[in-house]
Amino acid sequence: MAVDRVVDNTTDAAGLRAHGLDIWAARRWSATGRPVPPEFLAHERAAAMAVLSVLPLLAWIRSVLDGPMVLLKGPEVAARYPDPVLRPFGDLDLLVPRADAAQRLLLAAGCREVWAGYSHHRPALRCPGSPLLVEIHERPAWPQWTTARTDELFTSAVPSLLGVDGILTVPPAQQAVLLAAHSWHHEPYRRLIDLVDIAAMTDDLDPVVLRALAERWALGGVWRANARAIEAFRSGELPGSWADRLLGHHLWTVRDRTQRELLLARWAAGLWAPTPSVVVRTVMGTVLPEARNILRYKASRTLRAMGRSFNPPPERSERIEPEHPTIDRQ
Amino acid sequence: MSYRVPEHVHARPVQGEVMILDTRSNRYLGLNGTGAAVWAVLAGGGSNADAVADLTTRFEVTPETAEADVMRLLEELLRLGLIISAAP
Repeated sequence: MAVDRVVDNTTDAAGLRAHGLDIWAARRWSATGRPVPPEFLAHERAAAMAVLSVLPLLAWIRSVLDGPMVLLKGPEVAARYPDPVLRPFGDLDLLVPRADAAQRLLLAAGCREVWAGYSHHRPALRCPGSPLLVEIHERPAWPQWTTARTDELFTSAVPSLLGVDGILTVPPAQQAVLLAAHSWHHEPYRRLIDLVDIAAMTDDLDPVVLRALAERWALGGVWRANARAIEAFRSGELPGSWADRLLGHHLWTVRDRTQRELLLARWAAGLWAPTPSVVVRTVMGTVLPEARNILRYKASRTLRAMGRSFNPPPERSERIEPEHPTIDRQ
Repeated sequence: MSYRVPEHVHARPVQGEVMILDTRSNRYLGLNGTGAAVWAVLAGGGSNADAVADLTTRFEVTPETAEADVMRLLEELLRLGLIISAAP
């Protein structure tokens, strides 16, 4: 199995953690007599606690909210793994038709907002007695050029594998394409666990049907890139395309991305848009604001340095400036 | 006497240990390797005598020590409502 091969051949614990494979490694290494880092075991305990917490939390949310509720990613994907603990998650992503009203009801029922929201979901909620966070979505996280619509997700929803009354999920083909889209929304070729997720969802599905769905949602390029990465991961050989090799270099070497690689991947994400005009619009829409931030940062550093040049030098520096601007990971 | 796990209690083995969630109190507990062995017997419908026998075969421990360990853990599990008597 590809994951076993990767964890057997990797010695970099931080790399396995970055790619979400540390619990898999803990199980494998423990079974083969290899020492397991304590942080891997701690993460496995936390993942087991998360798995235990899902059903009571979903049942409680169901008792608070009416209307359709579609569970995306996380535990729904973990249910497809040989053991759900192998696929850690820290929150529940729930797609609902009226996100603001649902958020208000959950706040009134005792949840509190702990993290800021984004354009596609309301601020994350911590609900009474649960270690898991809840994110109420008005749409999934997907590239802005997609033609997918949430209406279609609601109308085609099916009962969740978790078996909680009234909790729905999207069919496996939609879930798989949404997983690829979500990963791409953050950054192309993000983590190995993202590839394992998609493989777990698609093992018994027709590739032609999957490709057709991705094309219909204008995510054909994203889907093909993911399929190539999964194939390379399975075979253990480097992918043929230079873009796959370059942007997925951290995948093939099982290490965390550097800040430069991360920035490049985010800038390049739009290259998989369906038409040249959308490619240009998306890439420029990503590159220009980030380039402006970097220039603004550099300019402010220069101005501060010029200002300091008129003052006597301090005996010792009180502050260490970061080398690069911080990159916001959503 | 045999025992069972009530419906509001969920457990999951992790690397030879057991994580337990009591959904009524929202309390999480962890049992170490010995506790996990006792839990497996009791949660599987076994008696405290079965758990003592299991401990003496798995670990280098006298029956007296194993019995004392099992009874101490059983009392705690019963007190917390994490396990109940299977008697009708």
